[in-house]
Amino acid sequence: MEQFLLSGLAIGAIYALVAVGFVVIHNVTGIINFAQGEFAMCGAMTAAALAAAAVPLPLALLAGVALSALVGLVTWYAALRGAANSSLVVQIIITIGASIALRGIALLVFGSSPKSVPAFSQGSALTLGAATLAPQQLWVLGIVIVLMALLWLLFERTRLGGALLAAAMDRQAARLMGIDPLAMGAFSFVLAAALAGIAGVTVAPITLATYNMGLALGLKGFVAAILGGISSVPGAVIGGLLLGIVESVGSGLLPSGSKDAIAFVVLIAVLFARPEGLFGHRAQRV
Amino acid sequence: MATVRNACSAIAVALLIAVPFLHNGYLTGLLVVVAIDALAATGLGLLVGAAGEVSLAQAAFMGIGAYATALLAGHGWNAWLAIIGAGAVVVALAAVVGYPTLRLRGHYLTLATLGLGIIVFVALNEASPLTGGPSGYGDYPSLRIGALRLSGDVPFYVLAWLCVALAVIGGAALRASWRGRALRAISASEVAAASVGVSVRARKLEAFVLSAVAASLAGSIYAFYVGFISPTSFGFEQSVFLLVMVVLGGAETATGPVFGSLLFVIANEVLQALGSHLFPSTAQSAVAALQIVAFGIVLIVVMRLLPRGVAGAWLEKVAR
Repeated sequence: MEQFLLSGLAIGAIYALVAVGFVVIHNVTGIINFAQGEFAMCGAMTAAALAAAAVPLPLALLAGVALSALVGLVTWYAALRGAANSSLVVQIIITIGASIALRGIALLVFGSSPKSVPAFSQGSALTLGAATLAPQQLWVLGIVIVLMALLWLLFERTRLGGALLAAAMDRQAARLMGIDPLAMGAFSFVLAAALAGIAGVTVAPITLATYNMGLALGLKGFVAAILGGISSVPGAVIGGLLLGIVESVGSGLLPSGSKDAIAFVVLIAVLFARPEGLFGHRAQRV
Repeated sequence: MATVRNACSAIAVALLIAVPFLHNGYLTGLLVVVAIDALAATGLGLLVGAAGEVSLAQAAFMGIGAYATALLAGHGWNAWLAIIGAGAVVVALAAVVGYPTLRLRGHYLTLATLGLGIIVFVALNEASPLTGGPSGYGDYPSLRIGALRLSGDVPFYVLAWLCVALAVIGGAALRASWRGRALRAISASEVAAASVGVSVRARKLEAFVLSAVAASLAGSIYAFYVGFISPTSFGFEQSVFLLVMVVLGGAETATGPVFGSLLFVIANEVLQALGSHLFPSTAQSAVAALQIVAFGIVLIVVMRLLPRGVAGAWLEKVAR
């Protein structure tokens, strides 16, 4: 049981990173970005390909994250900036288009076989009571904690983060204060894509990287974000950790093929019982 | 506008009636597949165009329709009853997914149907004692009318296009009815629609269930036409391709998705030829990848430049 909890916490930390990206984009632009999981995939595949080409691991990881951020920026400018005021349906379809275009490009460039990324460090597993944590799982947890601290600093202590929050709270008022909502949109995509890229390269040593890893990762990040109330960054983090734990414990009890179904069941249950999420404000209900 | 549209539709119908008499097996077979896709796309078009919601489970509903039909027919049901039984299964599933998600605006249905699509794909692969798993299922009888056994391209050509015609007429009637007006009011503003007494959730749920039923029927016809089904025909990408058809043709009219399906298959044939020309050595997977990239970009470009669809925009231009 402790083992399931700890493994769940580690994988949940990955979902949390993807979920935070959803929340940041959603808050700043109102867009639900169905390409979020593909941002993570781009980073993981790039890092895997570079690592396989004998590029030093830290450099490969950095390049993967940088490419994710770049893909996020390009997605914003090429696909979504001009549709910032379009209807929800148009925006949803555009991000779906971006999502499968990225999948296709990855399939074209990297092929369909799974690729491995070496673990960030060797060494023995950490034993906590009856459970053990592999070094890579420790890396995941450490990276997520550091990133959350950095995000807190960004939002609470820098002008850029403040501008982002202002644009998220009220686009019109932010514009009156000299903040360009479209520039903030670009920044939110870069930030979200970089977070997803970090999630991708960090999880790849555990799960392998494939061109279609983005679909499930995106869905789970999404479920985590809704669990946390879709507009709250701390909520998304807790939602991700909870989902990871539920999934880990559930897949220990249920047959292995049902692992991906757990996130979906959680989603339907949350929408049934508490659509505003565990911590969110009441969602618009009509 | 209306006369041009009617003229185009009349020409299209005349051409469709002429096709079986050409005795061109390739063309007839291709157009059976177009009709099956058009049927599912017509359903999705109703959801996107009238209700303003996007589903990513349309291929999954096709898959459930196909598998449920095949399994029921394979276990001794009358084939036509099996089609109805499969429809009932899909209605129940769509209601369970739609009921909690459609009380919320916008992206929740897309998200839930994305999840549903993934699960159905996994389930079809994993439940191998029942479905045959990744290697597929083909152990079911063929469709009969009395003693007449339906097989080959022409009978299914007639059956599938008749179903498309019925779906388009039904869809047009629904859009023109008070339900259609209610749905348009909802997609403009749910709050405003609710404030004038529209039952937002009931109307959206109806549109979603109907769209799923169209997909289920398309899946049933597919199962009997091909005689063998496997999960790969009903994955996430197929759902996106159905969305591409809707977007290409334009979702504002009932006929739009049908034209979209025709445009899609033409674009697809061009892409296949182009792909095997560009990547002669790596062949199939590169062509598939090229197809995914191209249709992803098509979705973005069409939504940005011609949100009423290529067919819709062209009709407007001709009519002017």
